[in-house]
Amino acid sequence: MYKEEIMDHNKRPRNTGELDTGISAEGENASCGDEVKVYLQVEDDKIQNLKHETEGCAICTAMISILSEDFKHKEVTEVREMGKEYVKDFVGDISPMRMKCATLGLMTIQEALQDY
Amino acid sequence: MSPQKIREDFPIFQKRENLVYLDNAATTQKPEQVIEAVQNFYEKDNANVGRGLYDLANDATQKYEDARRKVAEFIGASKDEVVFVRNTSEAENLLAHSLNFEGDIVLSEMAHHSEQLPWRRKAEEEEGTKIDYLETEKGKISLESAREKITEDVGLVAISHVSNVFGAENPVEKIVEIAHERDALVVLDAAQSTPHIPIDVRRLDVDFLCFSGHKMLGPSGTGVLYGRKELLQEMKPYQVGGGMIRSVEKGDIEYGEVPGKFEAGTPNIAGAVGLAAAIEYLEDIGIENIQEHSQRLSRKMIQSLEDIEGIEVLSPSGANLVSFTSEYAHPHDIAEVLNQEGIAVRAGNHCAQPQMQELGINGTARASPYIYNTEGDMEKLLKAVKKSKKVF
Repeated sequence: MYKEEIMDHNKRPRNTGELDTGISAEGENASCGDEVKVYLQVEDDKIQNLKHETEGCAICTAMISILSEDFKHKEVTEVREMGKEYVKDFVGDISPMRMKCATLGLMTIQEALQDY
Repeated sequence: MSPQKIREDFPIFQKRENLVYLDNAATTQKPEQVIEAVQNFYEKDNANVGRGLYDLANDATQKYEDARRKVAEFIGASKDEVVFVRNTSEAENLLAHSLNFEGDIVLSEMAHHSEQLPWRRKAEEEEGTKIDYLETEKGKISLESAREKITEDVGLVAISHVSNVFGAENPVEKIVEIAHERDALVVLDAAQSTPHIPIDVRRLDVDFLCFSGHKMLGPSGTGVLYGRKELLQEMKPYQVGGGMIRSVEKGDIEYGEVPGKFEAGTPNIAGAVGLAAAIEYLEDIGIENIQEHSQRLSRKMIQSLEDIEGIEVLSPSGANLVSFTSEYAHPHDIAEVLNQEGIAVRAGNHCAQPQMQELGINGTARASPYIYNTEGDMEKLLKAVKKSKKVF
């Protein structure tokens, strides 16, 4: 689970910070204390920029960092309809409890895009 | 007591040889004696209780009531002051539903959600009832805060005997004294103390006490509510249904006596029998010996963890578990690395979010030992924590 890519993103999360675009959401895993805020910039129905402020475990932090790069230039509808399993491409097969950590970023991004 | 010998009674340690189980504050493992008591009940004595007239039903009822007597003796109560419930949460919910009192409610900042949410909901439903929280000082409820916040306006104080985050014993007797001086009732959540500390409800002088059987070697789905008899008698029933009435006519219902009044429907009979077997097992070892053992192991863990740079221990001395944070890894990640070494600890906010907010942290890793944990387990834990530092 703690692969090199994950550890690298955990130590140096990419695209941290805020965006003043009005498309944002906050997510929290109450049971463990992971917190994610996401900010998106959307143009022509595509994600142009994605920033986040995250306080969480290595899996949660690395995953939102990875998605902040991976989702750039992706269609809003594609991201909105993406299944939770998508994160397994990056973190591999993990326990249901850790899936909550891994998917918090994705779900928060989807929430921010809900009304878009 | 010999943890090595005790381990032989627990089948799980034979089936999972490398398991270092340090999540006993969440639930404990079960000895053969408890598993067999449950199995024996189903094989030899199973029938519904308090209903049938045949021998088998009498035997089942006898076993169930013997279990109640065993629990009562264990906590220094009388038999009809012991209500069987599913767990501590249900005991607290039952009280919040059925107990009527005048005045405000005082909880604690360290409160587990199960001992604060039922009361917060009650306060929301009853207009004008205010809630205040006793502060935490070095892992224990602050007495100064208790003196200040338990005023004449307070009708009920609900606190933990031992916090599931810090593992240290709160100054309960003094808080009870303050509360009773001001005519407030006291509900004590003893989920974390009953497995480790000798309990005597008369000495503690609490009005109600709640605990879970599964945290003290008993089967899951077993819990206990103790209440002073005169208070239980005044309370309205919680759930209504079979087995808890004296008579039902179309125009009138008369409820039965305590404690049956609070046990609607067929109870967890085999569970109660298993809990009685668990108490017998604990008494054979001696609760004082258990207390000494868990405190000794915890003291050792606290000292060793404090020596690791970047680790902060939150449990005060005398605690029966160790909560810690680290500046290099999130509690989850520490728990994950420990898991890879076969060590089971809990990580997160331990169902005590307000306490985490007060501390300004997003959770802790918690290692909670019990009777079957050895010095060797502590060494493995320590080694794995050091390893987690290297990983991150």
